[in-house]
Amino acid sequence: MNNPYSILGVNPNASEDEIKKQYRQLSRKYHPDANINNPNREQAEEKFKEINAAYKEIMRERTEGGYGRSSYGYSNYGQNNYSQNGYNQGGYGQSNYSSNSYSQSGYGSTGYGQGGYGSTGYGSTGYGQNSYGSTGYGQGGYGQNSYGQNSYGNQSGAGYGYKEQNTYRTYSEFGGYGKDTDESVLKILRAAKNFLANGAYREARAALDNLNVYNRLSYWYYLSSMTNAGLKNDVGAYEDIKMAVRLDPNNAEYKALYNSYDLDRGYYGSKKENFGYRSHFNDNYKYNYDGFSSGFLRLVMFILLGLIYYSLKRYGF
Amino acid sequence: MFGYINVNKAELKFIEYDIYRSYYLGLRRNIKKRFGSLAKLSSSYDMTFIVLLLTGLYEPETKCETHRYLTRGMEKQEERYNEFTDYAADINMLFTIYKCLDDWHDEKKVMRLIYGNILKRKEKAYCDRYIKRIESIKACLKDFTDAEKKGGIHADDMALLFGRIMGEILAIKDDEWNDELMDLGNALGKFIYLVDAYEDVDKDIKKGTYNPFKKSVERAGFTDGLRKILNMIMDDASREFEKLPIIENVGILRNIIYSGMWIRFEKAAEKKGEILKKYQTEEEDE
Repeated sequence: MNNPYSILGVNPNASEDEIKKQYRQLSRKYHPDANINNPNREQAEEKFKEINAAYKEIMRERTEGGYGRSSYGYSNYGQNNYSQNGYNQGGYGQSNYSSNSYSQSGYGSTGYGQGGYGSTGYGSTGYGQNSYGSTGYGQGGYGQNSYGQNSYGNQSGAGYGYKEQNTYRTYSEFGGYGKDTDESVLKILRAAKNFLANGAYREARAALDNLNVYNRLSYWYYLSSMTNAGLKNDVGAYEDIKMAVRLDPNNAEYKALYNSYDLDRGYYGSKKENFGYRSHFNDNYKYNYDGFSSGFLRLVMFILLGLIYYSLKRYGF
Repeated sequence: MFGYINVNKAELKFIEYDIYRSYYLGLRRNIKKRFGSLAKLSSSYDMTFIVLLLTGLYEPETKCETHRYLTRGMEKQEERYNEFTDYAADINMLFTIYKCLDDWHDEKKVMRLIYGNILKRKEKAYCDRYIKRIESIKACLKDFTDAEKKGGIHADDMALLFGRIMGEILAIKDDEWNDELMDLGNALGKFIYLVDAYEDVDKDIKKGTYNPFKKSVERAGFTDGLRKILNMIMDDASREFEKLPIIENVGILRNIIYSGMWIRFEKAAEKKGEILKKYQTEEEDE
């Protein structure tokens, strides 16, 4: 898309409210309903779609770029990977993988599908049954193609990815897991991490849940937290990262994710003070919140009064 | 699910409060007219938010009338209503009936059962325009109540189910704003469910009814943790909200989303003796 700001006719530094105002103005002008009698209504409709797309693109940037949860960790993985496909084409998360095989074959029985995930053919041997048992992680190999490069290769520094296939046997690649950790355990963690990077949260969840409880160390909780966050399991996400920090208080990565839950962080945290958030709400406790009691009592009183009035009238006073 | 979406009155401008109230009164009158006085017994503040949100997004033709109220010393009050008022009144009915049957089921309040059945007869007054939407909301509500009755379900799953109801309510037109409204509704629904569960946990422990926080509420720092979780949920909600091109009454809506939503939770927290301590990153000279 060409510069969305110029499509909308706003300054890139404009505030969100200014952008919204401008959008509304343009939208009123080019909306199909407003152009029924316009001989150029097809162009108007085209322009309308363009304006919509531009507005959405700008607001997506403004609300998701670099703020709290949406840009943290797991979705950073995701964004790097999908930026190759382009946000407009594949969409982040949803339409990209629904067009591949995993939605058809499911991951339990036949495996992750033939085309594999995206363009890299990971899991062509199938994730469900064959993957980490006999054939290993799949033919494309873990991290050989796009997602290996962008996502964790850079972060860990030690590059436990693709080329140095043997090096991760000499040190633990995952926090909390020692050098002698069983390969089957590591495979599960790698699979989960990979799924997470690609936004396949349900698959990541299944992979993680597959790991025996005794083998769930701090890194498992770290991955689990991000997986839960992706699945919008907010309680689980928080409890998991809390556990990870508890198990390994010195880990900077865990701490960073845990701190992202602080009340003044993120998009919401930075905005709420501007819109009336105060840490004490004493003034407003006077509201009666139970939907029923006040009205109900009034009704009861009304009936009682009615009865009293009626009986007074009836028995003559 | 009543009385969770509130305004922070202290932080609203006078004019904003008057407008909010006008939509509220318009809604109340609508409920009374179409469903009878009996239906008015339930609170409508939450539905007022829905009217304001949809009005802000779609800017429909809105009528404004004035009426005198005895309870306000015969002072003239403005009442605003539009197509979304009808819709919100329907939703209010749905939830009122649900709450009645729910209270009967949980606490055996006979009056509620009677009340609920009386209201059920008025269901044919639902707005034709949104009948389909009402049906899908009812279906989501049923999923939720089934899960409640089953019991033993994790807080997140229950919250998601309730969130879906709210999402269905907000995503009224199935248009280009469907995703944002759905996600906003999901987040608000989750928030409401968790606050409700938090409020009821003591009662549920005593009665032995299901509550997802039964086992965890006594842990140290539970309330602080829940507050952080709720904060994260509102983070999602606010981002989706700000994606919507709402100008009209955005001040009221922001007051609700950034501040008013917390009132009920903080009230419950205060009752448990867990007032929000100041932020850790507070400046020292504060």
